[in-house]
Amino acid sequence: MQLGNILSWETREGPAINAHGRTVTPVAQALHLHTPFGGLVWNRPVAVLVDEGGMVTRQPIVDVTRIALWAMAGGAALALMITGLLGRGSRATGE
Amino acid sequence: MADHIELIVEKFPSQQEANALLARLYDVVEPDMVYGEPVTQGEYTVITAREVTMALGVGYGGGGGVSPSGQNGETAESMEKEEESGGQSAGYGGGGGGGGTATGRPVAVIEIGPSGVRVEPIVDPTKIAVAMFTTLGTMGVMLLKMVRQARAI
Repeated sequence: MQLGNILSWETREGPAINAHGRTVTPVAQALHLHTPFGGLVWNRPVAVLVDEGGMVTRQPIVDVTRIALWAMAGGAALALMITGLLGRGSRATGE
Repeated sequence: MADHIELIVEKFPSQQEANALLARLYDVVEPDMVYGEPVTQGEYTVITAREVTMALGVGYGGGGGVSPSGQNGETAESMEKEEESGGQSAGYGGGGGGGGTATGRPVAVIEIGPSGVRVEPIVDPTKIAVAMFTTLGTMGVMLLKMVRQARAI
């Protein structure tokens, strides 16, 4: 997925690993941000594809730490927004 | 004049060199950077998974100018030089800089064993605790400000 020449998002599979009668293929997602004066790459694991006897299943990799951090940030932003709105309301009625 | 401009261009790094440096950044995109080498011990094989972030920035700038001859306060030596170069003097300057950062964080461990494949997430309690206290502290300060403003009104 690409947003012009600045932002792109791609999913890549790594080399398959054979172990204990199973073939495991790791999958990673990368976000690229590139400008003429700089760039950013964020690469994260997403899932593993497990091939067991011809049947392929996808096991997602959950980043618990990141989810907790984003939930905290989102909750804090929401709380501040609500508090700000309530404060504005009470100032309006007070006037 | 053309010689001076050519000298300016030669002194400064080119956009192509900057692009080549930025292109090295995308070596991080490969899945090999995210997944570690599998380690086998007995009946189990373990693969680590991590999140990798890399950022890089470069900047440069420069300028030059040509001043006509006949300006006040010039020394005899500088006036002689100006006459040799056709009555003009030129100057140039420039600079550049860059910076970057790279971070990695373990996310999960993939365990392949006789019973199947298991993905075990890695939780960083230190990071969560630091973020939580920072968030609570910031919220507390902002709430205190709002309460004081409300009382002042």
